[in-house]
Amino acid sequence: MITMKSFREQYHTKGNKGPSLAKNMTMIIVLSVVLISGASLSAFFFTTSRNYQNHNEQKKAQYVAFLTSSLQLPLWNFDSMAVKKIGQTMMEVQRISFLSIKDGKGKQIFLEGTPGMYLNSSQIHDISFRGRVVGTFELYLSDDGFFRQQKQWIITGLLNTLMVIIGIILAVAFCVNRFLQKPLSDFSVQIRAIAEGNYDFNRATDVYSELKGVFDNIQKMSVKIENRQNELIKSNKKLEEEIDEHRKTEQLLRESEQKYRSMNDNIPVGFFRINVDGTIIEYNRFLLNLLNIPADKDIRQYNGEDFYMNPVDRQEMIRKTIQGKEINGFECQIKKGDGQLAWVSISARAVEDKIGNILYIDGAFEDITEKKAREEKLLQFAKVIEQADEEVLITSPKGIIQYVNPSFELNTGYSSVEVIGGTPAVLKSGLHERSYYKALWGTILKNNTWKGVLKNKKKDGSIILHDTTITPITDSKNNISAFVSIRRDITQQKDIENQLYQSQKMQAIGTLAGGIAHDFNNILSGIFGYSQMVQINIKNPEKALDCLSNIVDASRRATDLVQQILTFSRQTEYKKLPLCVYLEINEALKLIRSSIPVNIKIQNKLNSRSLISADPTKIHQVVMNLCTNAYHAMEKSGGTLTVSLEDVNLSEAKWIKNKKMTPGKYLAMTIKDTGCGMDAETLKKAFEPYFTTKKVGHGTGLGLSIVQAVVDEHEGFLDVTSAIGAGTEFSLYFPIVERQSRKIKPYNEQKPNLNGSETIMLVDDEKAIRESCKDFLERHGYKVMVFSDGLDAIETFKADPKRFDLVVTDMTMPEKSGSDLIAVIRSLNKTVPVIICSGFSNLMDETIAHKIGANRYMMKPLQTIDLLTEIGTLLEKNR
Amino acid sequence: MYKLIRKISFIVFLTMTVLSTISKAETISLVADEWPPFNGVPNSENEGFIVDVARTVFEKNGMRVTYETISWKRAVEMVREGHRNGLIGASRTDAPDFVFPSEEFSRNYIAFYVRADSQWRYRDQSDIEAVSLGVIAGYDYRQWLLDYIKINQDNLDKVQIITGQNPLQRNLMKLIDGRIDAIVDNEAVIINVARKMGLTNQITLAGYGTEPSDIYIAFSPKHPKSKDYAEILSQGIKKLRSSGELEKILTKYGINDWK
Repeated sequence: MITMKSFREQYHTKGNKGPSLAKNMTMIIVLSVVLISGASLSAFFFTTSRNYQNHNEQKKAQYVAFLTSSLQLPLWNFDSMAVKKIGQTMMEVQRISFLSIKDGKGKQIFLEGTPGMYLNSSQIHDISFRGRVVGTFELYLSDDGFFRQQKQWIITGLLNTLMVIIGIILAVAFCVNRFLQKPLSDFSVQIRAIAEGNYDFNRATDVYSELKGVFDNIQKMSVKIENRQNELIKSNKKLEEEIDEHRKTEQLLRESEQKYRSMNDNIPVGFFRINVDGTIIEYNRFLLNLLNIPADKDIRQYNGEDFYMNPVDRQEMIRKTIQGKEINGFECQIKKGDGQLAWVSISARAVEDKIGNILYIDGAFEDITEKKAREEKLLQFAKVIEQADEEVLITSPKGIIQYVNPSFELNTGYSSVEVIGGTPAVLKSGLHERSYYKALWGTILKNNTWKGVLKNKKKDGSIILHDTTITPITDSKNNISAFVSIRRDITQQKDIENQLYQSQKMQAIGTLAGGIAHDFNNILSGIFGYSQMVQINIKNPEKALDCLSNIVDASRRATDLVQQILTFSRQTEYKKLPLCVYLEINEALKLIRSSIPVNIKIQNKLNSRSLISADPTKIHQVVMNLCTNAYHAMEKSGGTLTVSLEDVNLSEAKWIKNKKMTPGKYLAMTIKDTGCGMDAETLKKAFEPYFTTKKVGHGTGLGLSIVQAVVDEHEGFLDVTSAIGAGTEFSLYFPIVERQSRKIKPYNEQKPNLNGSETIMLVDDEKAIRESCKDFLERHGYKVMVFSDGLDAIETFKADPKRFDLVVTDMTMPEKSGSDLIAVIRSLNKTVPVIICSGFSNLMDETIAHKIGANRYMMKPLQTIDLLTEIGTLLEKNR
Repeated sequence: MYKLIRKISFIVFLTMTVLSTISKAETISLVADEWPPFNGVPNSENEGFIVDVARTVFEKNGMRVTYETISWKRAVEMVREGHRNGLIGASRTDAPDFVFPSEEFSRNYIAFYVRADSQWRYRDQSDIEAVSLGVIAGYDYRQWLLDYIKINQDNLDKVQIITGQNPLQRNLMKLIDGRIDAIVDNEAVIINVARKMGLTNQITLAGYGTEPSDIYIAFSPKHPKSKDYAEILSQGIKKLRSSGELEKILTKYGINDWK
C-alpha cells in the first residue's frame, strides 16, 4: 500500500518533464493515415485499371466486328471511296487513335491517326469475303482519357489525405487539451483545495476511467478528512438544536393551553364539574351564556336547583349519573337567569378514583330548544298529512313509493304495505298514452312541478280520476331527493261536470230548435214539392230526372244538418289532441247558419289553420255557446256575427303580465256581435254560473261559465269587451302547438270495383232502406238476401255460415240488435266482412264498431255510392 | 453616202446581235458516268464522241455545253429532277419519262467479256446461269437480263451489282482477280476502258446479245425547253451526218457510223 509520504516522494521524484503526449499521438496517427491512404489508393488504381482494360477489350472487339462486316463488300468490289468513308466515320470515334485499311493485295486504301503514348497491344485483322481475304485493317485504341482521369484521382486523393492529416492534428491537440490537460489541471487545483481544507473533491470534474484508479484514493483520503471534521461540526450543531427544541416545546405547551381554554369557552356547549352533592366546581364561559348570567358573575353564587324548571330533574340527573356512571341525552327544561325557559340535553360522567369512589361529575349542557320546536312542527305536519283528505304519495327519485297516507289507502283500496317499495305504475289504467307519462316525467325530472289529471285504476279495477300535483323535493345541492304527489279524487266532480256540459248543450240545441225546424221544413217542402212534380212528369223522364236530382240534393242537405246536430250533441270522453280549430268552427257555423234567422249575417274571417291541444267537443261547445249568445243579442234587431281566427304572438311584457300568460304563440278566436251589448254590472256577473239575462226557460245561465271553464282547462285565457248598444266581443286565446311533420305515404290506393257478384246479407227493420239498398246492390251485380230483423238473420247465418260474403246490418232493431247478430256471426265465421249502420251517433262510432266485431261503421242515412265503395273495398281484400 | 450609212448600220446591228447572243448564250448541262468512248473524262482531249457531237450541234446554235461525270444512278436522278439538262448514254429503258430526240447516237448491242483463259461463251440467255456476272446498278441491259439481275440480286454466285465511281473499271479488276466470271457492257466501252487499264490481253469476248438498244442524250422531263433541245440535237445530227462532220468525229474514236 502506498503511504502518503511515499506518494509525495514518487510524485516529486518523477517530476513533470518528459515527451509530449500530443506530439507522439499526432505522429502515430498521421503515419497510420498515410499508410492507410497509400494502400487504399493503390487498391483503387489497381481495380479501376483492370476494369478499364476489360471495358477497352470489349469496345475493341465491337469495333473490330463492325469494321470486318462493313468493309467486306466495298473491298470485294474495289470500292475505295466507300472504304475511305467507313474509315473516316470510324475515326470520329474518340477512343480510336489509329486505323489502317489495305486491300487484298496489300495496297493501302485508308490510313489515319498516330499510335498513342500508351498503346495497348494490337494486331492486324483479315477481312474475308466469299472465302477470300479481300483486305486487312489495323486498329488502335487510345488510353489517354483513362490516364488523364487517373491523374485527377491521384491529385484528389493526395489532397484529401493532407486535409485528413491536418484535421487529425487539430483534433488530437484539442482532445489532449480538453480531456487530459484540463482534467489534470482541475485535479491539481482540487488537491490543493483539500490541503487548504476544502473537501468537495467528489463533486469535482468528471474523472475518465483511465485516471479513475489514481484519483479514487485521493478522493477516499479527502472523504475521511472531511468526515472527521463533519462529526465535530455535527455534535456542536446537535447541542444547539436540542436547546432550540426545548424552547419550542415550552412555547407549544403555552399555545396549546391557550387554544383549549379558548375552545372550551367558545364551544356552544356548557361544561361543568360538580360534586356528588351538586355543588359546582368548574364551568366554562358558554355555560354562563346558556344560562343568561353576566360574564362578570360567578355561577357558584347561584343555587343550582334554581336553574331547573323542575328541581327534581337535577336530582334525577345526578342520581342517574351516579347510578349508571354515565348519562347521555337527558332532556329537561331549565330556567335561565332572565327567567326564560329553554330545553337542554345533559350528558354527564362520574369520575372515580382508583378504588371506585366518585370524585366528581363532569357534564355538558346542550341547548336543544330549537330542535325541540322543529320536532314539534314536524309532528304537526305529519298529523296534517295523515289526516288530509287529499292523497299523499312520496316516492324516491327513481319512483319507488316510500310513503302513502291513509286517504290514498282509502281511495285506491291499496294498503301502504302493498304499495310501499313498488311504483305508482300499480295504478296505471291504460287510458293514457305513453307520451302522457313521458311528458310527466320530463317535467318533474327537470325539477318542475307537474299538474294534471291522471286516470288511475283502483285495486277493485274501477277508474278513479286524480287531480294531481307532483312536486320534486330537492336537497341542499339542488339534487332531487324525492317526489311528493298530492292527489284529489275528482271522479265524481268530473261526472257532474260532464252531465252539466251535456245538459247545457241540450239546452243550447233547444234554443236553436226553432231555427233548425224551420230549416228542416224548408228542405222537406222542397222534397215534397219536387216529389209531386215527379208524379206529374212521370211520363217526361227528362223533367222527372231533374226533379229527382233536386230531391237528392235536398236530402243531402238534410243529412248534413242531422250530422251537425249529432256532432254537437255527441257525448264523448274528454280527450285532448292536436286540433285544427278552423275545421271545428266551420262545422259549428254550419249548424248556426241553419238555425239563426236570415236577418243575422255571418261573417267568416278564419285566417289561421294552426293547431291547439284541445278536446274537439269542448271547443265545438264553446263556439256554439258564444254564437248562440250573439244570436240572442241580435235576435230582435238583426246584425252581423263575425267569427275570426288568427295567430298572435303574445310577447309584449305588459300584456302578458296583466293576463298572467306565458309568452308565446297563441291562436286567437274572436266572436263578435253587433247586438244590444252589456253594461259593466252585467259583464261582471256574466261568467257566474246560473246568471242569465234571458227569460225563464230560455237559458240555464251556464253558457259563459262553461266557456270560461273550457278555456281554463285548455290553459288559455278569455277577454271580453262590451258596451250597451255597441255589441259584444269575446276573444279566446289558446296556446298553439307545433304541427308535427308526418311522413307522407305514397298514394297507391286503388278505387275499388263498384260491381261484384258476391252474396250479401242485408239486415234492416226499415222497409224503404231494405228495398232501396237491395235494388241498388243488385243493379251492381250483387246477390242480396234481405232480413227485417236480427232473429231471422241469425237463424239463416247459423244454417250456412259460408253462404254470405259480406253482411250489412242496422244497429237498432226489434228482437235482436245488430251487435247481437255480429256476436253470432263472429262465433261462426271470423273473416266475413261486416258493416254496421246506425242513425244514433251516441250509440255507435268507429271504435265501438270495431270492439263489437264489425269491420266498418256507416252513419245513416246511407249514401248508396258510399255503401258500394265500402262493400267493394272490404270484398277486394277477400277476393 | 446613203449606201455607206446603210453598210455601217448593218455592221453595227450585226455586231450588237452577235454580242447580245454571246452574252445571253444558254448553257446545256450534260451529265453521265464515265463510259468511253461514248463519254469520257470531262475536259480531257477525248471527252467522248457523244459529248463532241453535242458540243458541235449546240454551239452551232449559240449554246454553251457543260459536261461532268458522276455515278450513273445519281446522274439519272439529277436530270429527272431538273438539276441538269441532259443525260448522256441513256436508252429509252433507262429513263422512259425523259424527253428523247428522234436521232440516236449509237445502236448498242450488249457484249459479254471473260478472262482470256475462260472457256465460257455466251450463245443464248440460258448460258449466263453458269457464271457470276458483274453488272452496274442502274444500267439498261435489255429487259430479260434486267429481270435476271432482279431475281438473283442477292445471289452473289449469279449476279454481283456494283455502284459508285468507275464501275466498269472496278468490274474489270474483279474479273481479272477472279471475283466474277464475266462482265457485260457495250463492247466499245469495255475495249476502251481495258485498253486504258492495260488489260486488253487478259480478257476476251464471250458473245453478244442479239437485241439492239439505241443510245441517246435524254433531256429532263422537268425542263420547259427540253423538247426544243431534243429537236435542235436531232436536226444537228442529221446535218453533221450529211456534211460528213459526224464521220470525222467517229473516226477520232475508231468507231463507224451505225446508220
